[in-house]
Amino acid sequence: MICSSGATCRLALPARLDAIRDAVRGAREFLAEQSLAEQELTACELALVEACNNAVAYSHAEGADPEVQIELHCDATAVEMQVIDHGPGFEWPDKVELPDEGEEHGRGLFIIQSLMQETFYLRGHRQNRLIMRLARGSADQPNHSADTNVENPGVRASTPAATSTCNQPPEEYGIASNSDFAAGKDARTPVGQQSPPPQLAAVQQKLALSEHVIGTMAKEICFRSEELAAIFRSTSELGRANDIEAFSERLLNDLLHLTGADWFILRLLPKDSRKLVLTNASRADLTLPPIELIEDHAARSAEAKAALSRSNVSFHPQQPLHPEDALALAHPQSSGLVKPILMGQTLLGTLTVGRHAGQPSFSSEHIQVLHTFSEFLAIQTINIRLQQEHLDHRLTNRELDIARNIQQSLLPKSFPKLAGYGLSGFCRSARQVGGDFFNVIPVTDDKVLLIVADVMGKGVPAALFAATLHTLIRTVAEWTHRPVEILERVNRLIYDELSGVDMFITAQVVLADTRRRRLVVANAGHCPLLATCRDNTIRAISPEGMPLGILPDVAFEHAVVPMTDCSAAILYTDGLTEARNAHGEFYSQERLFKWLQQNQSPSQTALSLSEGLLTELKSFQGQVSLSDDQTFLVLAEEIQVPCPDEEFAPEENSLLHLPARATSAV
Amino acid sequence: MRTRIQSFFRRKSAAAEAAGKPEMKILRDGETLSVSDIAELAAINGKSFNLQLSAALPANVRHIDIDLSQTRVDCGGVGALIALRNWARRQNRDVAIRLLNPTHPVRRLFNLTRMDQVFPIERK
Repeated sequence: MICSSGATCRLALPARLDAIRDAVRGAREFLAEQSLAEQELTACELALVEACNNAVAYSHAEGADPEVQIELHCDATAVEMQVIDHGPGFEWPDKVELPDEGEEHGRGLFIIQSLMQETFYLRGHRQNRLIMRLARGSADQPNHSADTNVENPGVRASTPAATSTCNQPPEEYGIASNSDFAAGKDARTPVGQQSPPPQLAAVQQKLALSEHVIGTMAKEICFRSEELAAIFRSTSELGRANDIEAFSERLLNDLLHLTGADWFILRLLPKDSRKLVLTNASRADLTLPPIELIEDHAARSAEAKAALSRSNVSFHPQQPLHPEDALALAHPQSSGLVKPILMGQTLLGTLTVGRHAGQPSFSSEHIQVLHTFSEFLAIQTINIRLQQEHLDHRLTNRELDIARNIQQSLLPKSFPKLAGYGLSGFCRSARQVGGDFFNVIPVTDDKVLLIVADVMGKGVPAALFAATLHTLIRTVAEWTHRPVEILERVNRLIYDELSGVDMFITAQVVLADTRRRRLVVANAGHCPLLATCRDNTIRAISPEGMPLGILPDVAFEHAVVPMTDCSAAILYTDGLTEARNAHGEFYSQERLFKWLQQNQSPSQTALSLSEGLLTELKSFQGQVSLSDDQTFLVLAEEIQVPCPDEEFAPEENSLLHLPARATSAV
Repeated sequence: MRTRIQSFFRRKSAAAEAAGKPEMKILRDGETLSVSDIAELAAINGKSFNLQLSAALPANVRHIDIDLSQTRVDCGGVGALIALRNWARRQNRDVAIRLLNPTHPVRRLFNLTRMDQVFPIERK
């Protein structure tokens, strides 16, 4: 016995040909339960198969929901079948005809129209609906199966009995045909019309269908309006809100309302992490452990599966969640969808929405809304991350500026006076801070310690060790001014720290004794000291010694250079000789030798030598940026001339000069 | 109003995995090729039906009898039968194709699509 208000059945199937048979079998079973006659069952089955074939054939479009829905409604008077797909649809031909007998395709629409009394094809924006109606009892007519009217395939043969039961719709429905509705084309193509006089039942059926269509459209318009309002609200917050939890709370509550979902769970993937972390949920008290994104978890977690596959994962009673799935534990017996939140191919998280048991599954419109809202989440998540990175970058830069100032302050602001000699130094870091430094420590009125050091590496780590070494050398120099002892003690003091991070330091310590007119040089793996000799040669002095931090106890050697033989001495770091030009060539020690040979003269002061060397380096490097810190310290014999007693304040990059005092003869 | 919601998705069964390939029996008796035990002749497997049959067709066969007593057919299947006939004609083969023992729904489909005017349809 059929309920007088009718029975409805809805089926969903993937948009694949191999899924049609099972779905149509299910539809036939439902219709058989409604006591349809065999002829009617056959007609409905045949028409439904062809309608599904068409839906599958035309449903494949980028971004289209890959699902086809079937809706069956059956009451005492009629059967209505609707096949809904979400592809671009197709143009229903003005006249459906049987193709030539040699044609392999094109019979489906003809079959549908032949078997059904009314057929409507509603083509909309991403949803198309083929509506087929059959009046019950009409299929039993003797000529029902012998339709041969090619001109109007929807018309049954004209027998009185057929006419009375196979009521043909009037030409004019009172509903615009081929009219456009809302966004996109929603062309309604009434087909199967015929010109026999309208009958009351047919008109009533038409009106009922029209109401159904208008009602559907009204619902869609309301739905889209709400969706737009929610989108506008969320858009206004994009880029302004810096709290993803608060933003997602508002957005996802709108989503629940629009989709009729009962709950949501949002998980985000922190940067450089492989675990999805619960960020927000409709249940405020919900706590879920993070999900690590490894293949093993995909079988037990729909969220992991969606994240790893970068595709939606649905769950429902026919395709339930794994019993250990966190979603199943949080919301038992629910159905819903897990959507990965992506920005391009970058996974940002997952969004799950669900309905409690007994509720219908989400429609394609709901899934579209879910897609839109997850894009909003993706955009806002990226915005917030970029804001944070910008802030972190500014903080880091600020701290580096402070560190640079500190490091600059460690360089000598003035040089001690040395009779007959001038000093000039230069230090420039490749980055904001660096591992090079130089120092000049007065020992007595006629002795100074000259130190140049180069910490392996660049940037903050090297700068930290440079500062430490600076302090150690100053401290050790309080007890001894012998270069070899200084290096040995400093090496023992700093070895543990350097070896712990696999770093080392090269250094050169020179005791300049102007009374005894000699330089005592000790070297810890550093570049040789260059002495410009009076015979226009350049001597490289490099006594044996390992870099600091290689071995805990190292014996260093020293070399003594008579200052009577040389007019200038240069301590430098390998940032000079390893400077590159635009052609990729190194400056090299040979060039430095050559330049010194060409530029040394008794008239050269420490300052002029420094400035000349700096100009030479800039000329060689051109616009190529520094790849390593550069440092040099020049001690030059200077002719005693009176000069104003003024000290130049240290400039940027510590180019210093202290004029020779007319205090003692050279 | 009673509402029933069902959802049909691909079942990972041997039958589902074999979908798309019509399992059929092909027997040769002199100049006649008999094809039977076809479960379905439809849009999903029409092309492979033709490929199988055309590959199995010896040169001197003059008749093809296709027994449809077990077969569900849709317009895709009708198209496959037309394609088979077209193929045979392109091969310049004078092959006569008969459709035997269609079920009532299939017969109805053939009538609607006028296949009864293209192929002999007989009970045997």
